[in-house]
Amino acid sequence: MFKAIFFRRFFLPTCLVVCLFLTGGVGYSLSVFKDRLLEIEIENLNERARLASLQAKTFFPLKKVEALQALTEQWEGAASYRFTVAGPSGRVLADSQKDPGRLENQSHLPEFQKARAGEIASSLSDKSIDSGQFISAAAIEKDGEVVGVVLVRAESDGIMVEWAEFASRLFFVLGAFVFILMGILWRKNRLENESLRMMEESVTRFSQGDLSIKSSENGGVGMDPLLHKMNRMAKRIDGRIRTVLLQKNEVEAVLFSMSEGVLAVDADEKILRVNRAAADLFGIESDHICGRRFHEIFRNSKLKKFIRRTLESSDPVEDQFTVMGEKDCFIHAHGAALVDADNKRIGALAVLNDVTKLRKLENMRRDFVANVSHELKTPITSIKGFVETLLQDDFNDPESAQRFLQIIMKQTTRLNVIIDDLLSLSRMESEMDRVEISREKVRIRELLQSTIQDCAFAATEGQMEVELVCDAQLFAHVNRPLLEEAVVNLIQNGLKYGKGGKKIRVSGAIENDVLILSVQDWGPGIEATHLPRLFERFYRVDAARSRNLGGSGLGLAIVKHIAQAHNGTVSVQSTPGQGSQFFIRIDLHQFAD
Amino acid sequence: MARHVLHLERELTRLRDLVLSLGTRVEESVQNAVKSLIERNTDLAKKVIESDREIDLMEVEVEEECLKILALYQPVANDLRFIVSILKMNQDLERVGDLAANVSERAIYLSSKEKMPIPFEINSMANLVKEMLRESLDAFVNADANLARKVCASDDAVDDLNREMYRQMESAMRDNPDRIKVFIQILSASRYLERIADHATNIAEDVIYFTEGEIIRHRGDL
Repeated sequence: MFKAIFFRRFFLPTCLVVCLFLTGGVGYSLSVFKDRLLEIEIENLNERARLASLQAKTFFPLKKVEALQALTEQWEGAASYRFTVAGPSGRVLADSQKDPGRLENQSHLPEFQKARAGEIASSLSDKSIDSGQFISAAAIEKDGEVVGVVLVRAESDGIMVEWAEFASRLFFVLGAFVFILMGILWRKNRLENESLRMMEESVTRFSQGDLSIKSSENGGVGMDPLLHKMNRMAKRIDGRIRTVLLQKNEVEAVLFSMSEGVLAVDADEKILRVNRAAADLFGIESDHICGRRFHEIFRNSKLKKFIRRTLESSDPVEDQFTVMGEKDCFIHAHGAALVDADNKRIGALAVLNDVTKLRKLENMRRDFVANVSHELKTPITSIKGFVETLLQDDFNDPESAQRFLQIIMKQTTRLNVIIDDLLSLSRMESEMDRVEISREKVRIRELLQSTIQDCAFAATEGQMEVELVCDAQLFAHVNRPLLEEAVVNLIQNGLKYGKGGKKIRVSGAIENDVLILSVQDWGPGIEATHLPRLFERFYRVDAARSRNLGGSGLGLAIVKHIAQAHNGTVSVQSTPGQGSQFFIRIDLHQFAD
Repeated sequence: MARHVLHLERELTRLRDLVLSLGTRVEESVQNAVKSLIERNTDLAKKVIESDREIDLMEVEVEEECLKILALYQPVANDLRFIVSILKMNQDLERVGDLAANVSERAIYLSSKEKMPIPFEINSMANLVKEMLRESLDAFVNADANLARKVCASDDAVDDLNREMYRQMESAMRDNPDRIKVFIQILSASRYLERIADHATNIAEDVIYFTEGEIIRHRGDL
């Protein structure tokens, strides 16, 4: 490609200009040379004519025509021109080539007439070249009188041949010169082509993003500095691109490792960027979501409204909304405008903070304070009421007093239970943070049996049967008193709330190094809404009922803490109307035999 | 001509956005309705019933937009199929919104009654229906005929669950004739859910129609 362009744009014009100048110069000098040649010839002829006229003068008055004739022939022999001697009237007296008698009168020739008038005349026009003859005429004067005219004729052929020969030689030399010149130019042209081609290649590579420096710097004549600079430029651009890429990767890494969801959209609400957390928050699995309209992917009308508000407002926007999925998430969203390098608004950025847990904790704390004061207040109110009655001056009813005191006793026991539970809970909490619980190898069946015995009284009282399902060969490293307390709590719960079922099943098993203890009842069950909060302190499914049953409201919380002290978990499965099953799972992996 | 096409393109995008907004609202309505039913959340149920008005307005807007495009641009082929299927989907979505409101009404009634356990089948049915609606909208967004076919196929499972509910409620009514009203309410909630699944299936069929140009309604095989 460059070859053609170079040929057309550089080589051809140069050659044309050189040729044009050479041809012009040579043409001009040739024509000047020819004029000069003719001039010399004419001069020569004139000279000859004058000399001839002087020599011929001695023959006049004319006595012997033959002698004159011989003289002309002698002249021609010496100069190889044609000499003619004519009389004043124009009649030819002698001629060096032809018979004078046969020649016509010469008086019509302008040269003759001029010579007759006394000057040397010659024809010096191009016409004479065309006619093929130069004529020069000189008068023969004797005693101041023109007695005749000598005419000298020369053929122009000779000069022209000489001239042509010279011209052809000149053209040959010039041709050779031009040829050599073109050769040099052509070679140079090819070298330049090569380096240009290389530069083109490098530039193409650059434009394709390949900035590795490869273009050699020895190709072109005079192109080296340019190539060198290009390479340097490439190196610098490459460096900058690398820096930008690095920064971009850093930003991306930061973005993707953030626990907050980040969502960026452009002005058309098309997704620019979404991080993993945001995708997870909305349960989005597809990977190719950039460039799509965001509410096709994030189908949530609150979020859409929020994004729209962010796009429209110039100030940062804040909002809270829930996302419904497998689990409902409560989201606190911050939105801000996205601006480009020129501070022009190009979209919106939303940071989505999942505050579900935070909210839950807040609720728990609030509820705990409310619950604990309520739980303590109830027995105290009752005690205070009865004590006030007893203290009345006119109170005198030993039977009632006895009954009141029993109630006071009962409420005090209740208070005691609550405070005991609270204390053991807080002790467990503080100990769990500090020291590992002591463990011993325990036969699980034995452990479960002793808990069932502990609850035997309550079971017979409630007319319930406790069933044990456990392999006698199961052993585990646990803290026996703590775990017993937990299972007793669960069994008591089952006895209290599983009334409809007549039966409780306690089972123990080890699966994959995990000890699973479960207590199942066939009572009314628990509704799904209560399940997540069941293990919170003082959380009541039905406040009125469970308080009548005498619970402290801390049983399950204690179970949870005991499980946690064993690095285990508690969970519950329940279907309303079908009963519930509580699980304690303890990982025995590190104690495996 | 080019400008005409460009305008049409823009209008279609707008229409798509509108339908999607409607779809999102309806989807959320159904989710909330189901939640209110299972969790006995009267406030949420009331919210769903209130938001039905908004859904109705959106339906009208979508329809007007469709008619405007039909009248102004006289679309052909693909675009025409798209608009026709949106016109139908629009009605389905609006109906789903109404049904969600109906479910919420049942939820309000049931939570006002003494503790009456909601049968487990309602739970799984509700989850299935939610999933179907979500998938049919996903199929619409991605023009994914395969996903749409999957939605059509899951309709049978919902029907089965609904029949099972009938059986259960029938025997429950026989055992507890005094609570017949509650059972009827539960039954009608189940029926509404089943209807929502039917509409989700219709939407999926419309998606197949506009992606493949094939009407698969009233055919046994898929």
